[in-house]
Amino acid sequence: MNLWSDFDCEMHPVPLDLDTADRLLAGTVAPEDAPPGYANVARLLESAAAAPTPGELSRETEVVATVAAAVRSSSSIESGSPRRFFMPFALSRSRMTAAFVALTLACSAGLASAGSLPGAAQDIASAMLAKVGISVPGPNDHSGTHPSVRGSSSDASSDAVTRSDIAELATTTDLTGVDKGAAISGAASDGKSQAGQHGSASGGSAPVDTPNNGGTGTADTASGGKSSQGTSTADAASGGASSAGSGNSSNGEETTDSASGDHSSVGSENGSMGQAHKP
Amino acid sequence: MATRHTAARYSQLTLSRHEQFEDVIAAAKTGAEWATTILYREFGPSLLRYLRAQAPADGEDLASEVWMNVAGGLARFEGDDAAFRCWLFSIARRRVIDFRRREQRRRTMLNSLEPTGASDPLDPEAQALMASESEAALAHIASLPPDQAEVVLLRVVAGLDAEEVAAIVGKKAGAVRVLQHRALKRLSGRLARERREADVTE
Repeated sequence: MNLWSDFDCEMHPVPLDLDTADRLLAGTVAPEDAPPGYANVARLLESAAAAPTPGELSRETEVVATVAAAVRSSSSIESGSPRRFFMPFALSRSRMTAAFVALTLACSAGLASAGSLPGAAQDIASAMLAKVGISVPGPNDHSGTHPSVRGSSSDASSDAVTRSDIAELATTTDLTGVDKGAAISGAASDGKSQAGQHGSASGGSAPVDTPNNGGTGTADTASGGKSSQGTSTADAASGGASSAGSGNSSNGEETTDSASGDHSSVGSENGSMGQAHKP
Repeated sequence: MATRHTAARYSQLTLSRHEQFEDVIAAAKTGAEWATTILYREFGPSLLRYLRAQAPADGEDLASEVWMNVAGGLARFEGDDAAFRCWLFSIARRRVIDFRRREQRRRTMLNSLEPTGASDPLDPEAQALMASESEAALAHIASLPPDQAEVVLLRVVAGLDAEEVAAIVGKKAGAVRVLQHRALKRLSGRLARERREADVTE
């Protein structure tokens, strides 16, 4: 708590206006001319602003020498360029932001002029730069309809329809083997797939010698008779539900169908190699 | 402009002996000691007095800090002596604020409940440092509420007018005038009470 209470102030009967207070503080009112009750205040203020004592200038030599040396030191640093050179972060934030924006624009313009931006971005960049007289290529053919739809969700919905069509085709077609794979792949790739056009599936042979019909025997031989045991064990353990070692490997076409069941959605890819499918 | 109280006006080597303050500043920017001496004599005593009123035991150290800040920023300074005075005491005020924060942290670490800020008139250290009449007057001013004491010190010791003080303390000139008015009323009441007490004692 301060020693002085408001009561002290209220005790003083002489009002003091703001201008007089200002003049008292400015030293333009002598104590004898001060309002009643403020002569002592005027004297106190005079004392506070009295001439300096020797003690107040006792460190003059030391301070002056230090300050002058510091000024000379700082001025010599500022006069040389190394300070700026070695202090790149002394750049103001606004300058750094401007430099970043300029760099980003330069990079974007460069990519646009090279035609390397994604379709929609290339289209936008081409249109914007054309307004300032800079000619850059538009989106290439591979961008499809992207430039014209620019973020539209219709692409996603059309893709969804296509996928459902392909899934339906994979589960409902009467085709089998290579033909099924080629049909699905062709639909998925919009006719660009060459699935089924290379290699021969009609001969019933895979590009490699695949023992479709002798799988069990081969496995049995290779495992020293343990394969048959495994089949029997699996059969017993599954209550006859297991088809291990059974006709799954009888031929590639059946393998494709049985593996995909009624829910095949990968036939478009695997079907293209249908005959080469190994057990 | 109002007459300034500043103690530096009494120094032998003052700005009045030079034609232009700009010449002194220009020389000081090059590190000329004669120019720095003029600046120190003109502004040093009032600066030290201002700082010692607010931090009696650390006024000298704070003054050195302020002068080093001046040395660091002098190359960028532009303006006349009034602008220099405002700049100097703006720096001084910031150093005082920093000092009080440090003291606050130190006292908190010591779990002391002593108040910080303006010097306590009953503090023996402060009394020893302010033995002279001038320093006793500063002790009276320093015992005012901090915002009032700061305004009075800047007005009387630093020699700034109300507008300059307002710019330094971040208040409007009207608010500064109200503060200084309240401060003088408190001072008047305090001195009247002391006189009455002295009369009773006698």
